[in-house]
Amino acid sequence: MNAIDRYTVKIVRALAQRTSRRGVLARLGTALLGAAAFPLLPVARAGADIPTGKNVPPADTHDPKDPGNPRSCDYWRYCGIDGFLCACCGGTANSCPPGTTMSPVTWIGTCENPADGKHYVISYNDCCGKHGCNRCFCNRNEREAPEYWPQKNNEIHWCLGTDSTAYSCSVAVVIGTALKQDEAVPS
Amino acid sequence: MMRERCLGMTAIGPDNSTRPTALVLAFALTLAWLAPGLAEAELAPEELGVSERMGSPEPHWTYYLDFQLSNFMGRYVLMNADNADFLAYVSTGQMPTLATSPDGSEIYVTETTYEYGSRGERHDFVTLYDTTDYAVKGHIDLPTGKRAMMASLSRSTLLNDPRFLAIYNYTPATSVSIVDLKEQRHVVEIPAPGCHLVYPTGARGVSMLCGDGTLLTLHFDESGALQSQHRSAGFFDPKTDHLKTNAAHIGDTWYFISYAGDVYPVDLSGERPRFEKPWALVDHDKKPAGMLRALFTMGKAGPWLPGGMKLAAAHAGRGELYVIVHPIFWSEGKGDHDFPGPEVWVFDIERKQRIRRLKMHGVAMSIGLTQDESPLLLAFTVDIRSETPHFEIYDAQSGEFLREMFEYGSAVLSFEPVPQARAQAAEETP
Repeated sequence: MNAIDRYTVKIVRALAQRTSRRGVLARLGTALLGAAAFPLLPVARAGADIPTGKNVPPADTHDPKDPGNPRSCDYWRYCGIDGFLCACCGGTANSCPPGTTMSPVTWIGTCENPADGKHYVISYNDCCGKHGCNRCFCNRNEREAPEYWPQKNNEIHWCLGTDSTAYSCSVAVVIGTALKQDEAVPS
Repeated sequence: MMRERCLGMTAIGPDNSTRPTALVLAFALTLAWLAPGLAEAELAPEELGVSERMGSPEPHWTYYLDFQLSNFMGRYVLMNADNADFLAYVSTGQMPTLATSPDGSEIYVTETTYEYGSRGERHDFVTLYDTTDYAVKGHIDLPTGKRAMMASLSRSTLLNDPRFLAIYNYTPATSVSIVDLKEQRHVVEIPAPGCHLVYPTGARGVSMLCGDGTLLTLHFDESGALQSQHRSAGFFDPKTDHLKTNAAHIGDTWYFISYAGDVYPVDLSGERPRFEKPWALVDHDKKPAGMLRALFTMGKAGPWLPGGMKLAAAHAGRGELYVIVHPIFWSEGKGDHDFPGPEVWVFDIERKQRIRRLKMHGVAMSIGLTQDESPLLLAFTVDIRSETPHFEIYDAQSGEFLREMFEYGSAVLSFEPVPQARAQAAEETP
């Protein structure tokens, strides 16, 4: 994140703390949340029938070292994910739903764990073998790169090397801690 | 039958006929006089089995990709932006791409299906459609399991010799397949390690974006076989700024929009790419507004960055570039390159200057532009408050909102202009 980004985040956070639920501030909050919670890619959450997971019952990790709701797009390790959350589909944040197979090849992201402030390398594997689970669509694009850096791209359908290449949902598996926040990727 | 029924009414009935009044008689006579006329107005039996055929394309006709998130299948729909009406469509398999013949007479859909729905043998193929009736005209099988399954729109392209279609493969090994549309066969697959997507180049070639910021250009001969290849010098530094791969173009000049808000023009008309100097779409020196000002302007005091899916479009005749932008105040500076925007900025390409700001009703994810003298801007937007998606049509000059298309489908990923050549050819024919 560059200096401008950091400054912006600071402003937004400061604002968020002061935001009332009414009036201009609330409208701004809606704008921020609405835009942030929405579309983005490949398919954005933009169809009238596209599921955002808003009313899906939450889950909890019950792990202070890994805090959050794995059925929510806001869960820390989903910072580079693009797809349906397997945790809403009969799987978990790091396992596939029954009857689907995890793709062996994948894309890699780096996310900050709020519990320890460390950056972790996250493997975003797709689960394959059935059509889309169609729940909890989540698209975040932090540090995501274009297709010419496929290992950092989240728009690729990664069901490769599996018996069926139909895409079901996506998991976020912790691989280890990252050396730096933005790892350079060899081209 | 109708005539009989009408005459029957004039009889009024046996009870009434015992005391015929002058009024009833007059009524009966009038109906009797009218009856032949009524018979002539009745519906003639209609012909069974009729299908519509398309006329010559009009300037505001546009294709759009309607994409189903639940199964990755879709449709290409032909619509008329003048009245937001639905004209024709083709249904597709998974992760389709579209190419249109330069004369507009055919479209080529590259797609994937499985033998038993979500399982079984995978089939990758190109379907050829005639645009007079949108019926299937041909089918070409591709090597199984190779074509790239991703969102980018540059996974297939017609070469400037429109006999050949180039298809980008990703397994994750990368290669290019060349398809001969005339002979309807897959000609060759050329490996292209480290390079991605396809942009038409020169007489019969493609250029591919490589991970080190260079272009790989492949040229093919008249039979579709590889003739030569060339690796360019680096024209951008992916370690400092990335390029969105859904680029806009005017003829052979492509405009790649960078994450940081620059545009990189690349002329692909010749044998080798020619890189023009990048120029800025946004004010790089713009400092974030103070909190009060940011609040007062809903963040629109800037800075702004480009973002979206099909985030840019260009108008050849007017030399204009249209780009979706958003204030980074909204995105918190995260994932800006894919973040939808509330405005479309219009640039004069020659002067490298912004000349208009078009305000969308919601935030736009993808835009398209008709290529006539009174262009319309098509935008797939999301209303921020209701979070509902909309297919909106604006006057590209004034920015005035004109109309909305309803029941367009699920999610509109991209817009593709309809070539006008067939219309012009029809007009020129005496």
